[in-house]
Amino acid sequence: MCEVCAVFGVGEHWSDSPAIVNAMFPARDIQQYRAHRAQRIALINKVLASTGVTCFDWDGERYGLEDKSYRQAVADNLTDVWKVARQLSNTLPDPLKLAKAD
Amino acid sequence: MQQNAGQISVYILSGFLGTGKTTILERLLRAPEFLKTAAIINEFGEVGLDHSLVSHTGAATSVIEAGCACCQALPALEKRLLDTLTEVSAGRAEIETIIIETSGVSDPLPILNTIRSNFILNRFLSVKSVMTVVDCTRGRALGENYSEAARQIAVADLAILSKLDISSEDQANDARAYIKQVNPDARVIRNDAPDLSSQILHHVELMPRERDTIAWSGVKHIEKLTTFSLRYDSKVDWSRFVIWLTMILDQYGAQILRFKGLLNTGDANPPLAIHSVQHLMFPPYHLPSWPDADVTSRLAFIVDGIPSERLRSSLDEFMAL
Repeated sequence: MCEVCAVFGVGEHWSDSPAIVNAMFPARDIQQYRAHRAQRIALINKVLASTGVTCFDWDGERYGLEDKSYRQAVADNLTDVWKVARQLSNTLPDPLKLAKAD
Repeated sequence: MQQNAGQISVYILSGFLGTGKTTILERLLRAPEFLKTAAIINEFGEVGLDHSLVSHTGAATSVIEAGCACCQALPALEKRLLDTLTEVSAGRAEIETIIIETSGVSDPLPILNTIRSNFILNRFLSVKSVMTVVDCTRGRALGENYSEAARQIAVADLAILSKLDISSEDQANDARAYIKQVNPDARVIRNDAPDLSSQILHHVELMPRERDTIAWSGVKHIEKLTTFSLRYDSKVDWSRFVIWLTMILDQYGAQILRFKGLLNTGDANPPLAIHSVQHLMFPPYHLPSWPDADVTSRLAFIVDGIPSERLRSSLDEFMAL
């Protein structure tokens, strides 16, 4: 989010939805990106369910993460979500063995 | 790889010790296509020699000694690139292209990572191609005995056959077959081609093609290199896909030497091209259209010790979340 004008961003990381849209002004579709983001956070929470860490929207661009002790940390982008989640929980599900971890 | 206006093109020239990198660099620096080029040479030895071999070409040439650019010399390389940008922005140099010749034992990935992770370099430089020089007289032998040589081929998008004048046709064919074995998507060109510089300049990275699973072992320090492709018939949900991909790269990035994909993200969208070198992901971009009538998503991997069926089932699980 822009600290000056308080306008939510749309995400500039390669994994964010605007990165794959052929649009000169991606912010015009901000509602759509917000919906994608909510869906994405719900999916992240499914993946992290076994760790006790939950993910939430921080500022429209970054991700907040919280463990069972209510310790919070912020990940700048989706790539960093996994690093931060690992720092909070000391473990992460193995993506190659996700079904077995459930 | 896409390029924005005002960016300087960067070509990374790798290749094992003694494969003929500097000869090719010298030739490129003399070509009209590379007139406004700065060359940065990294040498493994303490005293740079290659630098003097190309200095008479008139190009802005600099050398980074005392260490390999994939480990000890990275800060020096970063500084040299920033200095070059400073010269250009101040109007003291007119440079459109930078060629980085790596040391013979360099892994190109940390060099790519240096460019991508520095805000200024990432903004003003555009890596156009990772090239590797393959010596036809010992192409397979080097790859099978030195993991660095195999990795250089695995992460390259353009392989240049060298020493063609002293190798037999069988040796050249075997080198070509070895390159295709390690990296089926790499384009292979010959260093004796009269239009070599033009071929490099106009090289467009090949998109992943269907491939059979090929596994081979015996490469030192590499458990088991495998190349395979996956197809995904349904529309790919981008959110599910990136959650899967970022998590895979987070935990297995060191084992995924190269990854490319063409994704069908929706009925009206053109194909989305994505690719990574180990854990380093390049920004995705849309191709104007599908290359053929086949519009199914396809992913191609070169991995070290990850079974294809594990990746396949993992992707399926994430797409069904």
